[in-house]
Amino acid sequence: MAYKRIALVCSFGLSTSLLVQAMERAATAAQAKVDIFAIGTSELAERAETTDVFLLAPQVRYMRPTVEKYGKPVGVVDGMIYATADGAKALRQALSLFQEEGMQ
Amino acid sequence: MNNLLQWMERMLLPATVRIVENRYMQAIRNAFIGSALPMIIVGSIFLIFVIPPIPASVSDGVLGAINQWLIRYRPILFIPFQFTFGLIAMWVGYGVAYHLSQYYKMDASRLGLTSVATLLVFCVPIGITGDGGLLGLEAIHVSQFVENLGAVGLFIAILTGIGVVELNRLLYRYGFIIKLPSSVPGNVAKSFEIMIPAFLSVGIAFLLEWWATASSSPQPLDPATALTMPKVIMAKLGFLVQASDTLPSAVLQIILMMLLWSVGIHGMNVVSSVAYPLWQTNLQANIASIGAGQPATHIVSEPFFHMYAHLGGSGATLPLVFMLLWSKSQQLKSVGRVSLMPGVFNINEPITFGVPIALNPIMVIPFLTSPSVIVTLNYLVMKMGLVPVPTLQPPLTMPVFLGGFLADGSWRGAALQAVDLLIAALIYYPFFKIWEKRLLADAEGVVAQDGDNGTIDLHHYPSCGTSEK
Repeated sequence: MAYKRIALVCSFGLSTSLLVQAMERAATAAQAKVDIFAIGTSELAERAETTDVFLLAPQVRYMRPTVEKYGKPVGVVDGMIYATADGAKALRQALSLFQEEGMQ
Repeated sequence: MNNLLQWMERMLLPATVRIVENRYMQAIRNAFIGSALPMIIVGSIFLIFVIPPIPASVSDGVLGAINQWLIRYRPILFIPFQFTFGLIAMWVGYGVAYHLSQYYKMDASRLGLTSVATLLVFCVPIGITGDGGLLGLEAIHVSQFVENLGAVGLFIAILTGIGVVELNRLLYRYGFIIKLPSSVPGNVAKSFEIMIPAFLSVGIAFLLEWWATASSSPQPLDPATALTMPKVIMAKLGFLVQASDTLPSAVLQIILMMLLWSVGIHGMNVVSSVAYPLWQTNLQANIASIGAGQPATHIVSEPFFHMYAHLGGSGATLPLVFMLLWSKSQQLKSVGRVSLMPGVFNINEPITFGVPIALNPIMVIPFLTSPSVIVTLNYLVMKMGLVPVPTLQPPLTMPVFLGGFLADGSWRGAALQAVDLLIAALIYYPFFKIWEKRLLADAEGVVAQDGDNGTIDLHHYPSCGTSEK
């Protein structure tokens, strides 16, 4: 089974990198086959091909219609999960997005 | 107040989506952030050696000797800057075409290069001088050519990037493209596809440039005074730059940024997609003045906001971090712990969404007020000449004091930041206390019951599991 690629999107990819580390820890603990990385909004177009699910930081949730055009599942991270860098909850959200995608 | 914030979110979110969804706005912003920014920062580092943070008045001792040496060799020391930050229009011209083509799923790198070639044609005055001589590369000084690729060329660079890509799109739509059979390797085929669009782009630019030089330059034509398209366009749009560099404009920009952040939308991201070209024009004008030995006067630039207003992140929240760290509320205390390191590097999303400030009617008040007061004060003291204006753009993660010192090359910049921090602390404190009191009262009433132990059962997500089947 191929690794699922999860992109966390914020303005420059700086603030989401905190959450990426937390999510990686959660993924390791759960042995989930995922590849998680942070990107800035200016990298969206070039990373769209190599991403399986987008999680938007709450402050760039206005990008949702733009990102949805890439045809991949898109979610917005809840503000409190984002602020406290709750990796497990964010990862769960990403995994749920895959599931919903698979069911369609 | 709560309803007001929710109403604001309902109004601002769709408006933001509309601005950001505009493909040209996206391409322009990405050109600055994605393509030009590294060159801006690298150029700024070289600039430290050209315009060192030593007061020009120092003429004795070691520092004085350094000052004199730097002034003597300035034209040479300027070169690394001139070919990085100094060519900002070239990077933006490439970036706009590159990112816009990516949006259209077209050949981004070749269209980016075509855009640069087209832009370069606009940087040489073309024509026949009064005495029958010719204006060409030989007739002009290289610095005249390079100057067009600095801030003066930003508008034409943006227009060129958009124009080249749109022309390519039109030619594609009507089939004016050399198509090779699909058996030909992709790279070869692409090189042929770009030929007609590139020929027409450069050709049209050549004719336009000839016309612009002939119709706008003082007559008879002379290499020293002949105008180029970048200068003609800047003369027409210069009023925008002037209007952007005023107190009302600075206050309007910070209020807009903070209103957006108040409902949890990245305000700097949105405002910069419109304001970045203006900020860079102002900043480069400052550097040009200093290079020419004149005082820099333009205030409203990128570092004016990132270094002197967003102290610890948008909203000047650095003092709030320390209030959180010593808070009696466990929630606030833990947010404070998470926020300290990011805050030192001007990243404050943990605070904005953790306190939370966004959509919080109490905390939004200091969040809007402090940066607005700070921007007003900073503008005024810079206008009065008490603190030098920013001449250099440090990375946005540059810690406070260091950033203030570097951005205008003076300890006064750091001192101004200290005053700004004090103002922010005074404004935030009462609201922090009210919010803390409310959280403590809530915490007494409710026993924490989350029931979430933070583990993930992969059986719920079979598509990502490790189970061999």
